[in-house]
Amino acid sequence: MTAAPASPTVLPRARRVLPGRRLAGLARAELTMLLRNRMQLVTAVLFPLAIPFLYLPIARAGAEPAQLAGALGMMFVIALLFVVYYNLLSTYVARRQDLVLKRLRTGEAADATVLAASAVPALLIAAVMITVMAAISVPLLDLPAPRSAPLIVLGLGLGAVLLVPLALATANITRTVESAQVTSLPLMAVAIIGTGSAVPLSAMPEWFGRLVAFVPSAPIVALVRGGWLGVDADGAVLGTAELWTSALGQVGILLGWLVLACWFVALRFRWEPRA
Amino acid sequence: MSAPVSSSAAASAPAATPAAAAASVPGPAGEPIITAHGLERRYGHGRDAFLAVAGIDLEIRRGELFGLLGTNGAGKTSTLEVLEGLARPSAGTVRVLGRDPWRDRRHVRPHQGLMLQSGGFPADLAVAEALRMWSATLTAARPVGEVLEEVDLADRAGTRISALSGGEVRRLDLACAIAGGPDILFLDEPTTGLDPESRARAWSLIGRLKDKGTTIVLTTHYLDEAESLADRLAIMHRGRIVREGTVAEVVAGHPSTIGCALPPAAPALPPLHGEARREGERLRVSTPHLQADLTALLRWAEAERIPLTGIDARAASLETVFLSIAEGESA
Repeated sequence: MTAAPASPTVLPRARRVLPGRRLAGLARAELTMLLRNRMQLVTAVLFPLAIPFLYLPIARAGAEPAQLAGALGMMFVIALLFVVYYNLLSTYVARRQDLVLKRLRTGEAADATVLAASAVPALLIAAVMITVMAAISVPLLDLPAPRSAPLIVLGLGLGAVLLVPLALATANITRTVESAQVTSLPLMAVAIIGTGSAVPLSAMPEWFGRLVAFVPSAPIVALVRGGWLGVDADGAVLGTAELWTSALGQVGILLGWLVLACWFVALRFRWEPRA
Repeated sequence: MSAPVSSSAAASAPAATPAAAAASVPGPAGEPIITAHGLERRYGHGRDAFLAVAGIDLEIRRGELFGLLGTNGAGKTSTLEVLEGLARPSAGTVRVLGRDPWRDRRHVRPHQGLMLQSGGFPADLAVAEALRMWSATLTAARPVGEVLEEVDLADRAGTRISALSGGEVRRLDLACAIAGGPDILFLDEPTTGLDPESRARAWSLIGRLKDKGTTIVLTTHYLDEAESLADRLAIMHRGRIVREGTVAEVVAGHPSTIGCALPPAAPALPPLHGEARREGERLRVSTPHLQADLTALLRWAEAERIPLTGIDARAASLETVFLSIAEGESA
């Protein structure tokens, strides 16, 4: 009989893996699935394309540029809601139902990588769709060229990213893919009110308007409006310094939501279906 | 930095592929690779608390196949989850390759492969796509085609998961478990739902992995599976380990049994070494001396002209040990 070794071998630290490799591998599979799911694909691609045409009558009626840019912001918010929020909500719920999330969590990929990977295709599609929508809208609605593209990109980019943890948080109260049609409604409705174009804020009490400014979609619209036309909600033209100061506040609101939503997901996300 | 690791591992396991060897950690065969002391797993709080694993000690050695058996609800999966680093123990310490599998999971996981009870594959992906997705998360993944070949799924590579049979999904599960060329393989009921042929093939694959030096921890409901595969095993019952050792050690000292139908009017039985009792129409003898008592019984029946039907004599086996433990629960 051989003597037992004095101390067992202790595992060395793990080798580093290229950080993007896991994310890319998982995102690739997610994209394959998205392309195979007709319903999801239609929601993600055809729907946003149709939106600019809905604004055609308003433009024909001779709307002010500020109104149109506000409408443009709302148009982008609606596209983000469908392409990123609703689409990802369905995806996360489906992956959880199929126990895919549970499986991936037993592997080497970090929790955040697993969840982020599913969002990559949706975010890429959102970027493409919004670019296409903007390209269609300018000639169709007779809009001027954007004054500060970085502000628009910042607002839409942050907004799109924020919708990922919001979709994850909503997935907690969504048992099946079908019930996402219902559970997605509250946030969609609030976000649309937040754009300021759906409900006339001037007809509402002042406190309501102040509250609505903190809805995540309000800063997105403000950044698009400011970046495109350089005007505030009342149509007053802003100087460059004013524009960036106001943008800072809007970005702050978006970042605040982002931190809050990520914190909630890190603590409370349900990885497995309810028994 | 991994060069000396891969060369020594390759020397001890010539069949290993380069990718598999790159991930393995050298160490003498037979050293403890998984240890648990006072491992407890408790669910719920206060009055509703339920102790699923009641403080067990385990030592699993490098290169062995360890079987974890138990009645339903005995705590097998609860134990396995802790060893796999998927759950934190309520009390006790666990070391896998010298590290805490929960806290140091980032370092331990590249060296282990898991086969879960639930598939967890997206229905819309094809077999090869699903394995490629999983492999993308691994530190050292083996080629997808090679792994599919090994689990006999190469001809189903392009088939959607939704079109697979239950047994094929289990094989894909196994493919994921071995895709990283793991040092330690956890198999939670690996052959449940497989037809006899696939089961035999799964057994031979598990045997080949063991020959390569993989340490395997296996739970199963099939006692013949444990009997033919496991080097050592533990039987759990109500959160405790009630028997542990090789199959021979576990079976040793356990009585053999004789059963047969006995007419109610039959005269008194001959003297036997074992204990006889009547259960309605049936006689059951539990004995340490199977041959002597069976001979005595048959001679007696012949002399008394009593027809004994449905004779069933069996030496102590894992099954009889297991059943007596399970019966102990109802008693």
